[in-house]
Amino acid sequence: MIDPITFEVLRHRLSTIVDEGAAVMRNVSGSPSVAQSNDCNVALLTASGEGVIIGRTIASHAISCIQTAKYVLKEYRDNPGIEPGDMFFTNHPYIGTPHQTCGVMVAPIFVGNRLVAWSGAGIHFGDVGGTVPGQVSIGAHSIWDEAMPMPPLKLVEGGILRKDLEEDFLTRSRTRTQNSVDLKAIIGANNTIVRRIEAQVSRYGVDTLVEALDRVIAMSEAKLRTVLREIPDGTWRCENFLDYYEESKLKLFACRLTLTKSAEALLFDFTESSRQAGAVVNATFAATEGYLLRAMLGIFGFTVAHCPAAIHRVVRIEAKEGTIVNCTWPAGVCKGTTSATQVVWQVVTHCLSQMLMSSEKYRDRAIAVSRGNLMILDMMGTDQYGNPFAAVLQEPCLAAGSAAGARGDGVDTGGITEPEVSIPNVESNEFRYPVLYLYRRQRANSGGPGKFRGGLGLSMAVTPHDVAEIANLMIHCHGVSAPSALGLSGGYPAAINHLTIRRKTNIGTLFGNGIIPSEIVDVDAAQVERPPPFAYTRLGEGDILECAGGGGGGYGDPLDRAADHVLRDIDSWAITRETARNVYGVVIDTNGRVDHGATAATRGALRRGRRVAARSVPESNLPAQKATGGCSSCGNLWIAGVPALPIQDVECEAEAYGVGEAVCRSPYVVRERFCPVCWSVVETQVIVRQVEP
Amino acid sequence: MTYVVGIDVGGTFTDCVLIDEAGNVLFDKSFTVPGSPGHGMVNALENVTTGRGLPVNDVLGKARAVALGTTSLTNKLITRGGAKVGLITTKGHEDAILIGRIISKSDGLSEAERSDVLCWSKPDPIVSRGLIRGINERIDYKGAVIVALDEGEVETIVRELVESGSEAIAVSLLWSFVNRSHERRIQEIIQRIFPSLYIALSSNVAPVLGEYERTNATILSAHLGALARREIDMTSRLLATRGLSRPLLVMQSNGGCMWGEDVETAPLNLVASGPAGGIIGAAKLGEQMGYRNVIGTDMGGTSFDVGVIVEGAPIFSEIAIHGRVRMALPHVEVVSIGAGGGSIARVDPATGLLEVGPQTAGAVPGPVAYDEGGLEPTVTDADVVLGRIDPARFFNGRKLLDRAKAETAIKTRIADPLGWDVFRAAKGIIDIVDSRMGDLIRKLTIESGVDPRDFVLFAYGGAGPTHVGAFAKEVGIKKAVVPPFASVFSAVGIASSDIVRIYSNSSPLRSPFDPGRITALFMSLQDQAEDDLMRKGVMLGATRLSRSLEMRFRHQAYHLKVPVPDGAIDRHQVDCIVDRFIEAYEQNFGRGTAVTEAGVEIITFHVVATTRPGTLSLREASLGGADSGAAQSGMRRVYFEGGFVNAPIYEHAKLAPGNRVAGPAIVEGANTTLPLHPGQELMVDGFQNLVIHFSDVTP
Repeated sequence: MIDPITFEVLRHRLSTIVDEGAAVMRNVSGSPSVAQSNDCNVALLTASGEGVIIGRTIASHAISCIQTAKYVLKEYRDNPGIEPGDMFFTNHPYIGTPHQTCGVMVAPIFVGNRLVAWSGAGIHFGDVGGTVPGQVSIGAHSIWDEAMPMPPLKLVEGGILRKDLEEDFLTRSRTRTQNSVDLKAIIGANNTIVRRIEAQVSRYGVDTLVEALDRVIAMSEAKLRTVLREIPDGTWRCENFLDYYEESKLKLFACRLTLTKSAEALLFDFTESSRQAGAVVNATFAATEGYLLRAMLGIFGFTVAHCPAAIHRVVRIEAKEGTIVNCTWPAGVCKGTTSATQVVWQVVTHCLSQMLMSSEKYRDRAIAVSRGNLMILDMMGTDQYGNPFAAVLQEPCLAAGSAAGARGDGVDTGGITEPEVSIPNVESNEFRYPVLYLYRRQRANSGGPGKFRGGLGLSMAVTPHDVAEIANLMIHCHGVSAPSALGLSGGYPAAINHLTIRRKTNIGTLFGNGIIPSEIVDVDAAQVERPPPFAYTRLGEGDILECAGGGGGGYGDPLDRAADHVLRDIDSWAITRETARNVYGVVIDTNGRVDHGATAATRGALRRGRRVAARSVPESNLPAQKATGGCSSCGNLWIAGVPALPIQDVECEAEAYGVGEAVCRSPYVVRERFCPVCWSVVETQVIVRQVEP
Repeated sequence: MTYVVGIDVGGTFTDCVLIDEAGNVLFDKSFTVPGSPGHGMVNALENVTTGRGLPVNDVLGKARAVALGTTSLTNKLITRGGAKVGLITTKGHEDAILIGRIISKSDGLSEAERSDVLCWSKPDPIVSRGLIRGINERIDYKGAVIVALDEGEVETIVRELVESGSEAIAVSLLWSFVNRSHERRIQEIIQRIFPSLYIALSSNVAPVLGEYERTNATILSAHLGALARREIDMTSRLLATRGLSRPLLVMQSNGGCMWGEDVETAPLNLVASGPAGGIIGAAKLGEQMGYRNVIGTDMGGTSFDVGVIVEGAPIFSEIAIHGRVRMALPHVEVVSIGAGGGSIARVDPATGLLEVGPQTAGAVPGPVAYDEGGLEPTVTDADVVLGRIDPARFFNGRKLLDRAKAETAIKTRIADPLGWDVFRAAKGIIDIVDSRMGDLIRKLTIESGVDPRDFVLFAYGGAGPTHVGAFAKEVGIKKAVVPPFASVFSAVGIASSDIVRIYSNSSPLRSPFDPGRITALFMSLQDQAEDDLMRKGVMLGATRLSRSLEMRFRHQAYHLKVPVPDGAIDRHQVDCIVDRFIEAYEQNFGRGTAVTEAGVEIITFHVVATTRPGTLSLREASLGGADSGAAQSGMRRVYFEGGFVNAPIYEHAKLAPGNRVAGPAIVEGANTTLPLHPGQELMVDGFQNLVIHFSDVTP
């Protein structure tokens, strides 16, 4: 039995070793997505492939390592065999990685002939082949139109990088050189981790090391189980939607989750989710599992830190084959990290938060959904220096607002529930790419309204600069047709994403006259386009691309928000005065102070308005879990059968609630549920009219 | 006799050293006087001079240089205790500091806080949104004016900002580091209306690419500039009444000193300058001892600080985070963890595991052995219980420690819950903290691309020597050095620092490079440096100008600093510079990792002006015999690996150059104790350093 001192020393040592591996990978790769957005990760696994400690960056890469190691153990033991010095590489979505442009390398760690652990490292590659440059094969019908994945291959054999296999991987790619460096980066990370683990074995002995790995998991698992025991058992549901243009038609795919907690176990059941799409946006089971774990780490990071195995041991997942969250070959998945997986993350977060809400002790840990579905723009062409360039503008999606929660407001432009993500400076992008930013700012009214407000999203506008045109603009955006950063406990969802192209504007003339337009509507344009969310186009001289990302979901009824916080929001430009009055019921006087009398009257009127507009819902139309509940504002409790809950549709008020304007005829409504005693909002729900079966 | 004086004002102690012309070092400490650091300095000076027949007025009057390091601005920054600042920036980009590149939500948080989503928040902005004004103007990446500056608007905005209470103005426009004209013009307009208003321009404060970090540095300079000036003026005046006749020098985090009268132009350079002093001390002493690769480690009461010196030059970082704010601020990189003598040990009731730190007992109440109300056992308590620290000699006997209380605390709170005896528990506390420090050293060196086993380690700070025998071994160090003045080492570094001014300009260029443009950009920085030196009355011959370029491969974010020779740059030299960059890159990341076909970018030009206030080298005595018997003052029981042994005690001051000591042994120094573990051996070198050799090196 390992003594507590040695264990404490080794626990910290193992975590440092993982950090060392990550440092080597970052230093070697140096690509912007790695250096600036930390799109990579490392992992230390047990001999059976359980995740002991993963790095602090994007968790899905590390989870891919776990899945890959388990696959190799299951399938390759005899042929081609697992030997010291070997490393296995894959970018196969049906085995491990969420999509083809994510690649992982796993390395077995041997002491003599005994397999004692695995090291793994994963990274995002720029391009791995396929019909379209970059990651997203817009218009693909199946995986046959996307980059062809590689199953785990023994790329490193006995410590030697096999030239033939390396060449196979590089030949497929348009970014051959960077891919070659990135391969070396993940090999370097594994080499570092393997060597350092071997050093600990020679110092502490192999049994001590193996026991320490197990105990790190056991310790986190015990902590997690303790938390779960303290939470009441129950069932919670959430559905959310992915908007995608399939065969040029808007389709809304549902991701439906039922979470059942009994004792120390969590069952995530996705069975009711929509059918899979032909290509691009699906999640394989592995990807769904990866993003579920990512959501779990976000919620339970305070107790399990960076140990996925602890989570694995309490979680079970069910998902029907052929659905958007468990697609079957040959469904395409090339946008796997930024499509259905994000909805998985959202509904898992929402269900877990509902679960936490049911616990007195953990209620204040409940959070709404940070960041809805993602808006991403790729640009390619010739840059201002005459060289080819490829850029991904992902600030509006990375700098989305963080969710509000039971403890307070969301972080403005705070992004997702992982700590080390960042966006480049405007100056960095203007130096690299032929664009000029007219503005990049926090988007007022974009955070989901609530007693605690969701964080603001980011909006920006760029125009080509020092080039005649940007020949290729590839738009692949979700979240433009329905809100997806859901609110919690009566909080509202955040604004939807928004994309406009203004053609042939007079921006040059304005500049010449010494004017930077305050608002983009101050610019005259020959034509204003709302491009479809999955499209190819170009940007010419004087064209302005304007994109606005969503915020985080709100928490609680906005009419319960402290009036001075609403005033602070106005002073910090987070909301407008109109929103303060219409959504929060707060009136500001001519001196810029809260008019408390008018505020009380306005809030009263808004509550009365709810009562008038609301209609009762027959209990039979409610899911069982909704029939019993409570109001956090007045403490009113209701149980099935006693009085029925009113429901109101607020489709026409969508804009006023900061939800934003849809790209085409609004395909959704936001439904509110009120407490029949005090008329506070107890729940909001996004309802979509036509959902894929 | 004349002296160079170095003073390090910390939170608890003010350390003072005098270095005479022969290279002898005199030193002592005093308590810091809150609110009046000058008085603490005079007290420390008096402690050094008393009994040596050196009147303070005489020492200060004839000093060749008096250099000061202070932490007070760091605290002011953390508490946002400076001026109320208004910000003028490019219209459309007012929110840059609020967006904070997202990363501001977790910058400056502890490890535990980073794992907990509920701890994330953006720091309180130093400028409220209402005091940020965008102005109609725009410059592009080439420095071309896209939108002319609206001068009338400047006047309106400044008046509004002042009426709204702004006491200082920060001006940070996009691309101002390439074309300063708009910022300069705004400054002229403000000076005309409000001649005494403090103005910070981003093109002066941090002329580098990256508006977020540059703007933060500018805002903080405006926030702290006037305050820094007041503080240094006050101290200078006080020291002048005690005889100081030369301009006071102030230590900077960039590893050099500046003239006190200049602090308002670069107040941020004072932040965290003390730890940089330690690293500079290690670099200078290392240089004299012939070591070019050095790890400097400082263990005090609350933290363990590490810096790395590669080929004689401290590793630099261009970005600093203080008070949760990320800023462009070139500084000697010093990484810190909460591990010190005051770190508290606890048994986690949930897991039954022993944990040490990051909570600290601080100076008050301090460890249990201080007997000032501390109840939770600390690292120092464990050192006392194991006999590694003599309770009667702590802090030169000025602080008597209560060993029995320390033992009881460890027994009841650690040993009993674990079912162990008290000594095993105490040893456990020390093993954990030592391994934690070893892990930090490894992490920092690996991140810097170097192998710690090739380095000599310097151990200083009050607790450094007590633990070096274990943590240096953890990382496979072969040789560790404990200087005789280990407890005031930062002050020695401050005294031996050169006067350093860094002139930088980001002018992003892409290969193929125009040699003429590179030459011109360097010449303009050099002219600026020479003008400044002339104004200071510094002989140009006494100053060395060295040039370097920050370079990177296109498509990569990682950059490297490449030295550039003097003189005009021709095409051949451009090729040499690029070759040197590629070589340095591959040295760090391995052969074949260079992405040469991507092309190379120059991001920033640097000219560093180094002026040495006077030649300074420490006295080196010749080595005598190995026999250390004359320095032995007794024996005591000390717990090492495996149990208590009788260890001879040596007095550091009485050891002579050439003496050797074999472990187990204890060497008592001024405010420090070095336990020499069984199997370890040390030799006293010509500088009176204890040089420990580790024979059984394990990684």
